[in-house]
This record gives sequence, C-alpha cells and structure tokens, in this order.
Amino acid sequence: MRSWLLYLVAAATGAAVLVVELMAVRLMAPWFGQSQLVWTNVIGVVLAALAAGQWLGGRWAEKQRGTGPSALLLAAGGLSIALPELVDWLATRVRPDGLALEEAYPFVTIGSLIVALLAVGAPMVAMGAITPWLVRLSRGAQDQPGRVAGAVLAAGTLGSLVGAFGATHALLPTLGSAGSVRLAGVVLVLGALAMPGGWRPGRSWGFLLLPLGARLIPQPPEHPEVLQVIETPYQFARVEVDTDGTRLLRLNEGLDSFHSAYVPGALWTGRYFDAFAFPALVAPPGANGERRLLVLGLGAGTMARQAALLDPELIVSGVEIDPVLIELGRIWFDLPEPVGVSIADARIALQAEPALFSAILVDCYSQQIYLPPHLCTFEFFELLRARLVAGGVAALNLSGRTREDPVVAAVAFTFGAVFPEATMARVPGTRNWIVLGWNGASPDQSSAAERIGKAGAQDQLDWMLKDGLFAPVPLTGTLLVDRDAPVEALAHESWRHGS
Amino acid sequence: MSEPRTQDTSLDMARTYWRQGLLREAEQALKGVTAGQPVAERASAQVLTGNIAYERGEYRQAVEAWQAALDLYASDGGMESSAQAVADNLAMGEARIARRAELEQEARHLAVQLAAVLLLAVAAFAIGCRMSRRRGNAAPG
Repeated sequence: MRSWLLYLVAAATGAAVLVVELMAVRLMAPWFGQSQLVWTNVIGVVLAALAAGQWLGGRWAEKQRGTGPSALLLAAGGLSIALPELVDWLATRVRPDGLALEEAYPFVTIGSLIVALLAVGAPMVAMGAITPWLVRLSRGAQDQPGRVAGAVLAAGTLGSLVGAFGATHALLPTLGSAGSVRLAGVVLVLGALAMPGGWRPGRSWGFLLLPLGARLIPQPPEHPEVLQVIETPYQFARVEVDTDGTRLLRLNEGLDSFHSAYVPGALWTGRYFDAFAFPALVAPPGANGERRLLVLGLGAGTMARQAALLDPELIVSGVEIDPVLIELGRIWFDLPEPVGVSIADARIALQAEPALFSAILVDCYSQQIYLPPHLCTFEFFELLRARLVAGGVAALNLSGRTREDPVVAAVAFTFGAVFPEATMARVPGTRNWIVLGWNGASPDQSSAAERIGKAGAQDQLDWMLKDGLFAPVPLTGTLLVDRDAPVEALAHESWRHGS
Repeated sequence: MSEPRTQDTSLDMARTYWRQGLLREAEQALKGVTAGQPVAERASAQVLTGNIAYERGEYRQAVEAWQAALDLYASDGGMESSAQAVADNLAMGEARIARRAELEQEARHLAVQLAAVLLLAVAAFAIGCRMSRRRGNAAPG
C-alpha cells in the first residue's frame, strides 16, 4: 500500500479522534453540562478506549492483513455518524426528568460516564486499532519498523492537531457539534474506501446501518414551551417559557437554573435579578456628574434592561463573552438598544476599560456551577474597585444554599478583603446571595430610600433597606488569589453536598 | 445590617442571625433557650432549629425539630396558626426526604448500570484479545 495513502488515513483518523472527542462533550452538554467532571469522563474514556484499541489493533495486525483496517474505519465512521442520536437516547435513560441543580451531582458524574463509555468508547476503540494496522501494512515495516511507526504516529498526531483547531474554529461555527461528528464519520468511511479491499462488499459494511438504525431511535420530545434552541460557540442556549409566563434563558443542561429572565411587558422578574436594581439605583455619580453602570456577565441582559428602564439617565453597558446570548437578548428579552455591549471576557474588558463606574454588577457563571476562577480572586476584586468612582458600588451574585457553602464563603471572604465594609444577604425566595461592596462610604439609608421611592421600586427593593437581612461578609476563610483559586474544587464540594 | 440588640432574648438573636443567613451564630444563640422557658419560646426555638437544618439540606433533622415544635404546641393548646405553619413545613420536609430517597435509589441503579457497562467493556476487550489468538480469524469484518 502506498505510503502517502497510509499517512493520509492515519492523519484522517487522528483528526476524527479529536473532532469526536471535543464534540462529544458538546453533544452531552444539554444533558450533563460541560463541567470538569464531564470533560474528565470523556477524556478518560477516550484515552482508555484508544489504548484498548491500539493494543487490540496491534495483535490483530500481526495475525492478518486482510480488510481489517477498512472494517475498523467503517465501524468508527458508522458509530461517529450515529453519535448524536446515541448520546440523546442514552442520556434520556440515565438522567431523570425534573432534576434540580442541587440534586444532579450523581446523575451528571455517573450518567455522563455511562454515556461516554457506550457512545464514545466504541468508535474510539475502532479508531485506536487502525494505527498499528497501518504500520503493519506499510511496505517498509519489515526493514525499518521504527521509522515507519514514527511516521504513521506523526501523521496521526498532525491529523489530531488539525482536528483540534478545525473543530473549534471551522467545524463548530459552520456545522455545529452534530454536523461535525457526522463529517468526521464520513471522512472515516471515505478512508475505508481508500484501503485495500475497501470497496469489496462484506459484513463490515453493515456498520453503515448504524446511523440508519440510530435515526429510528425515538428521540426525546421537544419541550412545548421552548421558544428557541441554539448552539453557540460556548454552549447550548434555550429560551423557555416558565409556568408563570416568564421567559428564561437556560444554558446547557439547564436543570432549574436560568441566566436571564423577562416577563413580557414588565420591568420586574420576581427573581434574583430584581435585587441588583438596588446598587444601580443608589450608586452615586462620578466627578463629571455622569452615572455609569457596568454589568459583567450580561447574558441576555436582564439586569441591564431593568437598570436602563428604571433610570433613563443611567449610562448602561455590559460585557458578555457569548455573542449569541446578546442576540437572544435583543429578540426575546427586550434588551434595549442603548445598552452598550462588549463581547469579551469580563476581566479583560474591565482591564481595558478607561471609564469609572458608579456601579459594577458581576453575574458571571460558567457551566452552571462555576464562577470563572479569574473573576473571583483578590486581584480581580482590586481591579473592580479601581474601576469605581468614589462611593461607587460593586455587587456580586453568588449562588449557594447557605453562607456556609464553600464557594459562597470563599468568594465573599475574598471580596471582603478588598471591600472591608462589604455586606451580603440572600435574595428572599432564591438560592442567590447579593454581595455589596462600596468604594468608600455607603449611601445613607434615607437617600437610598428616596432614590428607590423616586424609581417606584419600593415593593421590590425596600426589603434591602428595612428587613435587616444584610450581614457582613465572613471575616475568615479561604482567600482566592490568581495563583491559587481552587473554585472548581470548591464548586464540586458544594455540589456533592447539595445532593 | 441589623445587629441583635443587647436586650434581645436568645430567641430574638437567633431569629435575626437566621434571617441574615448566619446559621452557626443562630445555632449558638438557640443554646440560650432553656427548658425552663415558656413553651411558646421553646416551640419557636424548635421551629428555628428545623429551619436551620432545612436550609442546610438536613431534612431529617429539620422534620424532627418541627415535629418537636408541633408536640410542644399541642401540649400548650392553642397557637393554631403557628402550628399550622409548622405542619406545612413538616409536610415540605417529608416531601424532600421522600424525593431524596427516590433519587438515591435511582443513583444506586445508575451505579449498577455503570458496573455492568464496565464489565461489558472488559468482556469485549477479552473477546478482542481472544480473536487475535485464533489464526486466520483475527480481524473483524
């Protein structure tokens, strides 16, 4: 067999391995999210399956040349093409309906491992078995086995490189995750045709029935209250209508979490976002008399919209890393045009921001359960404070069952290390905590009450002044710094105990 | 923030701390409610103990505390509206316990399924190894 063809097949297989691996996590995201736990399961299964495949492929290749590689390519191709349907079907069997976030830990960890083993492991074993067989088929394998093995492995690794970059920068934006794995499957099938005897009809062609069979699997019904589902560069996003008529933005596995809310035609949402109108309303103007509000983690723009409508003189802007969420905000969440939007990472945008703000609201969650580590460290909060006018306020949204929650405790303590007078309260009826830190003295109660009254927001915000729910942030705890912010580990601990 | 005033009773202090989410402090303050105090106060302390446990997700302890509160209300006679609220809490706590038990059962099934899948994978690997030993019948397809 010609060497260049062998290298080409090795490269195509290497590319397919990475495309399937990266996209498998995305395909599982609507069911299990994309937390480190899911990534670890998928990567672990891929490595184990490749090792098993390489072991078996080496042994098979010693015994027989034959049509083995084409059969393996057909198997890997057929399974890859069927992967989206297989993942959905398996996921519905291992994840109960109606799970709340705090209940989901065992189902996400064990469930995603089962789905990865069955749906991703099988094609990976086949792909792993191909490489040793390609070495064996090479003309020079007898005389220069080391050189041939090195060349085939190098071709495979270069293919993986192309697969990794191609998946993220080319395939995902154009074909989406399902289209990408199907394309990888088709490439593997074409590779089979290029192999000796690949065109010869045989049992191995039966693998191509797999995608057809997968199409016949009954898929989970679409939720009737879903207004839009879209795959973004970062996640799956769904706009749903809750039982009370509120539009909610849910990301990935969703569960009972949401990232934006909008009651059509109304200002208030009856959810935690409403509390963040308080810092927006009471924040003082800067030296130039302007009052500026910045929302980090804009989502579909709930907090920004509320602030802009409550106080038309407020200059409202926001930062969101996922541009598609802004589009959804404009379409479904009435995000006002005057709200300025930067598409960027929140910290990078804040660093580049020359203006000072009267209030900065931070609502940055990633993969449902994580605060991005670089957005909850001492250094980040110092930057936050440096971007506030004198007397300005920073407000954090933290999610946790109690103040004893490991993430809530550590982040609030770290925030308090920069804002010594910081206070926090649970937003009534939610598992969200609002943490407030002032760059100087906080406004007196009467002027804050006056501003709330002027905005007609007493019903929604008076509790923040009168109910005595605020208490100082913890005085001891784990200080999160850029070089040591184990937020994921804390989040896992919190999640495990929540269940 | 409202600090508990010095003249507040232990129960008042515990309530204030609880509303602020300071659960450890609330528990500490509740230790000041002793057996010698009026039934209504002891019942309220039990209610608060239940609330704290519930917030932490310790539903069984919450239900026990609320049940103790109900028993105290019953022994005192009257206080029907308070008792009704606690009974509602109790029902909610019991529903949570039932839900948790159901999910634990499902999680156990899932662990069994995982074990079965792992066994299947090992068996498939062993079959693959065996295929390679058989001369002339080594390759799939």
